[in-house]
Amino acid sequence: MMIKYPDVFFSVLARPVIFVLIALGLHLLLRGAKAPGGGFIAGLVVAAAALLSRMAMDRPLLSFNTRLLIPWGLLLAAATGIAPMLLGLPFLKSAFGYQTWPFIGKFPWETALLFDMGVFLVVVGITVTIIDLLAQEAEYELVVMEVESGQEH
Amino acid sequence: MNLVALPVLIPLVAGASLLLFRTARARTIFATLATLLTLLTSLLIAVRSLSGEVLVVQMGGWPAPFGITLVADGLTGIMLLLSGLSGLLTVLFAGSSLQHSPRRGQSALLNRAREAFGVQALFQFLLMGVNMSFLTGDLFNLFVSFEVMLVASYGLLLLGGELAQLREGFKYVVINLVASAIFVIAAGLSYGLFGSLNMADIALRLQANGLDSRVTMVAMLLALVFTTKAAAFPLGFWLPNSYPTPPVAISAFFAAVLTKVGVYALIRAFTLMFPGELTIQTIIFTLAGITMLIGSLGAIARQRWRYLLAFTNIASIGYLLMGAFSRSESGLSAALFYLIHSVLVIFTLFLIAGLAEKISGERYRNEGHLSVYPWLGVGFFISAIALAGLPPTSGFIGKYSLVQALFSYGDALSLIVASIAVISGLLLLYAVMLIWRGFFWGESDAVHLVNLPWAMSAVVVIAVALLLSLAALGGPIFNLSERVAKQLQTNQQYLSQVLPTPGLEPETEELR
Repeated sequence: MMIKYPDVFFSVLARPVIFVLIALGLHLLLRGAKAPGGGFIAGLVVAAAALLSRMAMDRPLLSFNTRLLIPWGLLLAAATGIAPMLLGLPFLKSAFGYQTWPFIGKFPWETALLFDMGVFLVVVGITVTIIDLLAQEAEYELVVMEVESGQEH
Repeated sequence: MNLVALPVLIPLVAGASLLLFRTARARTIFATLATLLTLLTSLLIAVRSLSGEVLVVQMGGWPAPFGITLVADGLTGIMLLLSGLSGLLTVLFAGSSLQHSPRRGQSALLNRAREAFGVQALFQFLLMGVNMSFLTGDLFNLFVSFEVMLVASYGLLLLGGELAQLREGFKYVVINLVASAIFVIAAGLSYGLFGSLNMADIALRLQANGLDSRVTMVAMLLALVFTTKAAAFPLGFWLPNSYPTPPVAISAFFAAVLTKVGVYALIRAFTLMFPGELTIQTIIFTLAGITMLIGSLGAIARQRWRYLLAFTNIASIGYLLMGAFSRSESGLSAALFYLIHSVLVIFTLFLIAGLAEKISGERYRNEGHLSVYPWLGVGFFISAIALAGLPPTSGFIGKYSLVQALFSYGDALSLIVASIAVISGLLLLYAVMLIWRGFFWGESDAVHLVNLPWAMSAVVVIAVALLLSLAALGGPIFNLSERVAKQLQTNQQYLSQVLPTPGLEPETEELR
């Protein structure tokens, strides 16, 4: 019989690490406009979380059809480009400014963040879909191997 | 001025939305409408740019050497119009061939299983990449457009996963990855050398500082990349076996438009940025002669419809490069006319090949179809003599003016290449007559009537009609291409529109 369920220590430790990875991804996404980071990197970090979740707990990170993130992300990014056109400004023109909120304090905002979020969604959609498809394939092979080894005994 | 961004934006939005539709019928209708819209915006841009305007949009409002610029001059207008037209016909043909599932073992037509994997969405992304490469005024953005185009074309080429597709697709992917890597290196070098990636800015800096060997190196690398994409000799070996493998509509668009993107990039680079690099231009001119010969000789050796046509496509690339790099304005304007002709004729022939493959399979040695399909014969005959360059077709106008330009230039190399052009014209005639004799001529009892869907035939009729109208309107269109060639010769307006005041600080206007 093959060992189907992964290591207990691994799966227990993976849980907080996944949270940290997702938080890191969101942090990279939010700081991306002015500092190193951005939607693409953030998406890859979240993909790492999805991979870890598959390896450690044998469970998908996102329980909906991640394939749908690809078109919606693309549309969000495109909409960020089109919106200024409707206002008579150049394509992809970004607005920016400062906001002061209680507890958080003063922070800059930029509409380019929406574009980055679109990129983030596309990257997460593609990578997580690939990871899930590969994992399902591996699971399928595992089952086949179990059945075959069962027949031998 | 945001009009200029639309031929890129519409396919992007359409491609993304197409991933959300669930039925093939909805996808087909939506893709058709979106491509029609792209064609209409391309038409608007073409009308304005061909009347002498240069349309410019600075992305995000960042002025030229700092941001990315989209520019539409006459050449861009022609290319956008051609890609839009063939794009629309491709979508229509793909949609109409989808209604009727192909016979077993016949990969020529798009079937439902492949369509469900997002052929329509990928095609929109392909169109986006193609249009962006025609519009962009930035070297790195040109690389990005090539990548968008290539990634979509990998998908379209490989979907279906048949043996021939995988074997040839592998070569296609590898050669294009290598070419793209060289492209990035060239872009990096040019940024290091000129401090700019904006093509107009590079042109101005070169005008001010003159050429040296480092500039020649960058120009050489770019020429290497673009001739690979254009499938010129000796780097065109990937084309003849890979383009016939996907479904007909797709391979028609590949053959008619994708290789012309390479030709367009060559023309743009060597008229705008490196008009002084005469040695490289002479090398490309010489290679063009060999490309014609290889293309027409290769066509004679092939036994299958689209494999033969793929080689004639290589030959037409040779004619284009011959004219564009003939170092004379009349050669360039003849090449521009031939470009329009070549896109239309290759596209039409591939569509006819699609119908023929539906009738009797990939090989053309099945005699006696003329009596059963007389109109297909008429369509093929018109486009075949247009390909070979016999009067009264547009092919004759194009080839005659090309050869005439070369003879009037008159040095030994031009005379040799011009004679190769004439010889390979005859060889091309022989090649298409092979198909004529093999498929249409003769008597046979074995030919039975296959029901051709009317929509597919209608698309072919439109394509042939376009080809005929090009011949009928040969005079005005030739004048137009002369004007565009004149515009490309100096590029004054291009430069002054992209960079109104060189050295301008980025504007700080805020969104209200």
